[in-house]
Amino acid sequence: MIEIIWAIMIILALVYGILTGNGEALSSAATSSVNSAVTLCISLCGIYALWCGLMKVAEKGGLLKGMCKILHPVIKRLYPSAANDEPAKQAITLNMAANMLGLGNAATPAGQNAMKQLKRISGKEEASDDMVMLLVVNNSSLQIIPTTVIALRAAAGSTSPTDIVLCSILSAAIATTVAIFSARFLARKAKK
Amino acid sequence: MSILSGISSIIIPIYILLIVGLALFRKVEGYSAFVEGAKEGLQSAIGVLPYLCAMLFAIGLLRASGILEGIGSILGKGLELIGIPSQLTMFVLVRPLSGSAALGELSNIYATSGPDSTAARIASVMMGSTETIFYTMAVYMGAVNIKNHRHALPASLLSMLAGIISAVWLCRLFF
Repeated sequence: MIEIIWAIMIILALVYGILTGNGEALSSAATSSVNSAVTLCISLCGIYALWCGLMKVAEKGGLLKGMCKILHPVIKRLYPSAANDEPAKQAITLNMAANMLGLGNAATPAGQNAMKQLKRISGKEEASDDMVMLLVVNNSSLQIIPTTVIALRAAAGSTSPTDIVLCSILSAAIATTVAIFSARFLARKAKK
Repeated sequence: MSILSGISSIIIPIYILLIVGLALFRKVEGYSAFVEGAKEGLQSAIGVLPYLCAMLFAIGLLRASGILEGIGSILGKGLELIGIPSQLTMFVLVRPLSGSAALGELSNIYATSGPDSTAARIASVMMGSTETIFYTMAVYMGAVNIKNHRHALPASLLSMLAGIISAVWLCRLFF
């Protein structure tokens, strides 16, 4: 599916751009976009090194084990294949906690680590149900305090920048619920 | 606001303090553990680069072609029919593609409609209930070298739709 969507994105952009005389912009975007991918990757290197390093320390120090126990009932339901696998459970726990606290920089390396663990468990070349679930849950971003948005609104001169917090949490909860149910439903449909 | 920003600014330092403190307390070799983890982190960062290049390349072309503005002018009318202010069209379009572009659009909405307008509130809520789907997918699936994503994209898009509709609906209800 991603193969088709990727090709469609590019073909649509090129055909539309050429027809509307944006050829010049297209050529420069082609090179500048991969350049920005490399720049992004370099800045990610530092962030990933930091958070993966700390994650290892947390894992060995036992902080994650405690958090795991609390989240165990949730993990068991959402990711059945990880229920009895300690490393996978710890990575998922950290990913969930970081997402809720809005630590996007810490959530991604933890999520990637969780993906690796889930792939090790499934041992297949395609995404397993639990891997899709992890991605989909991460794509619906349940965050307790949307700090960036609040800061941005305050900077723009809002009289009460935090008044969207409740709506934001409820809306994200709805999005996450839909994410979980649609991942389950589509996984079952695929099996039939 | 000051309490909230106070709390969120010390979350990270406290979290790091807990991790390192607990490691020292349990007599775990924190330094070696950090180095081991950092090595894995660097490998992941480099590992996702090819996927990131492929995805940002396609997104870069889409944005440069001007097609988003083209779609936006048609889509805006359709969005208004279901209660989404037309100022949000570009925001909704770029949201799944690029986090920084979405933030840019958000500040743009704040500047043009005012940060306390209905449009600005809806966009703020959407920012919190939706994600940069394509980027996240490239980074997560890229880390494990998987190209068959199965139902990941349709499920993510459904969740994004739920985020958008519920944001509009909740804002109309609350404000």
